Amino acid sequence: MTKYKKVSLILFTLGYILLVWKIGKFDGLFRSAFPELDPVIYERTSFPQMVLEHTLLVVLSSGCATIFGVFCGIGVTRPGGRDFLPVVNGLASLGQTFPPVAVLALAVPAVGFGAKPTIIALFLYGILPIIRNTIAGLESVSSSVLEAARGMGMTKWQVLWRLEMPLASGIIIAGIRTSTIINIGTATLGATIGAGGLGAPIIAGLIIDNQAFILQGTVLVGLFAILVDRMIFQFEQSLFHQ
Amino acid sequence: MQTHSVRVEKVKFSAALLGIAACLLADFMSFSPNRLAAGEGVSIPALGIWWETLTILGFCLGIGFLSFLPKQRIRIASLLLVNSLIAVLLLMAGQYANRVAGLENPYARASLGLGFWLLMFVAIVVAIESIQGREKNLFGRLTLLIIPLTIFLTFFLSGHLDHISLLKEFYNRQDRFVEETWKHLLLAYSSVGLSALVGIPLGILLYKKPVLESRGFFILNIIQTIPSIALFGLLIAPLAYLSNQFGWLQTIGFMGVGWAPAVIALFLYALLPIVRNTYTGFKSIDASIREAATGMGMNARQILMQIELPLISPIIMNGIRIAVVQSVGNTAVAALIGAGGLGIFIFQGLGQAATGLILLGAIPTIIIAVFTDLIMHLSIEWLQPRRKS
Repeated sequence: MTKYKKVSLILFTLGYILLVWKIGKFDGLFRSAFPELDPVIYERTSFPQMVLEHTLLVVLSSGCATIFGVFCGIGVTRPGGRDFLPVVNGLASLGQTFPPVAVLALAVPAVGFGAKPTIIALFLYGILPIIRNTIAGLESVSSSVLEAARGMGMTKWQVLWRLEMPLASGIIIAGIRTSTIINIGTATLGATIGAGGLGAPIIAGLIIDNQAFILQGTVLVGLFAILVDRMIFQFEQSLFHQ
Repeated sequence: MQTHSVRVEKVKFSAALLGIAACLLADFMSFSPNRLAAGEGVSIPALGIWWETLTILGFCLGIGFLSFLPKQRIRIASLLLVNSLIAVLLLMAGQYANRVAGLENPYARASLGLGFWLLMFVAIVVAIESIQGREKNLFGRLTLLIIPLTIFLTFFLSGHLDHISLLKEFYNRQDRFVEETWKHLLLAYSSVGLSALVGIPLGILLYKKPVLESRGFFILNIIQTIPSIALFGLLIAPLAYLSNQFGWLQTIGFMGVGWAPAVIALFLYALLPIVRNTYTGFKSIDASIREAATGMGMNARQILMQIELPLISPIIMNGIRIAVVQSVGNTAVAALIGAGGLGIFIFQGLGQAATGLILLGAIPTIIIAVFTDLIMHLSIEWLQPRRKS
């Protein structure tokens, strides 16, 4: 069953790459669907490059958010950082009610236009689910397990890396998945502030009323999000089937 | 008697340090000669009024001082301190704006800078810290949200803040702002309402028919994964086609852009949390409860309406809470497809690089989301079966 899923995920990925590479081949199809439009294929930036830009935006921001979020989550559950636990929890749940688009918009007055504010906004917003899930995951490890480990003579670091982190990893990865999917969506909106990525054809299409552009952008970014979601899900599954 | 070493409360102590740094180093406000020119930062010492700097430093030192005292005894004191800090910040911001961008300088803009927001952040952190353990009761919520908002409203109504760029943008389009706010609320709430009407029965269906379960959730998960702007965009072409085919649809405003794709997409997004929570709620009901109800002679319909739904209503409401908070944010995105709402100001502001206009869209959207969340939390608690003490 899992093997079948892995194969279909690989086929999905290859199919997606092919679609991005050869989207120009659909020129005739788009032309017959939207005869009044010219051009029908978005050309300002090539599609492979937009996929690359989108990937970079998400990988940079979600990567930093993961490192920072997990680090913070570990920090506030240690004895030295416990003072910060309620505040961090409170801020994270307050922050998660903030709409991502508002956070993106607020980054512009602070840092200007382009990819930089987008990455900063995605990073800040992306931290929240990861911190919350890291805390929840680490707190879910029962104290009797921890005591047993200490009784066996394990050091603090050994308890953390060999016991707590593996036990919490499922919940932490679920947080990373949520955060990454939200970031893919918000990165699409980054096109409105000049960050590039797959949102560019959608925004351009909306401005000049070109439905073919909108369709190309939406289909590619939708499939991109589904693909990344399935990849992380698959990774999660493979961790627990070892 | 036991002697205690002095224990520093780290959160307040760090907040105090951050506050001092923000006061001395960051730009409190920024000034520009007109709406579109780039702003020039002004830190608190550069405002030129020495006692203002001293007051803010005093507040930070006060927070630092409180960090050496036992937490439980200083709850009220720290909340007083924090709320007065918020009041003083607004007072100072308004005063500066009146001075440089008042009636004599109608085109000049005074915007809130990083320092202002950092000091506000310090206030929020200390407030959250102070109500720790009391987050759940009304007292905690009042102090955290309603008192600061009352302070803001008092300053706002007195006209003290009128010359800050955000408020200038507001006065330039007051009627439009009210209209778009209502439209935003209507779009966000009505689509979640529709979603609840469909989602709750759908959740029950998925629970009763396990064959559909995995497929149903698979589809709902896929929808949730698609970025909001992509879902809005995907609906434009088919809806435009439909409205061209059936003329009467256009008379009610059902077109490729506008409210139609917005409501449909927001409806679809809200389904997953509502269906999932209804489903988990039903799963969580103990079989013995159903048996007892059947034993009492209740039929399936009575069990559903009188036992099961009331029992799991807090879980369903929590799903609706997640859906509606998300919907408030996605409605802002719907402005891009011409659906209106507060997102209009955000995207207009981004288009013109006008900070005040961006804030005029973004801050009310955040406030609506936070308040919706709070109200939903309160109603969930109210629904929770009460325990006798």
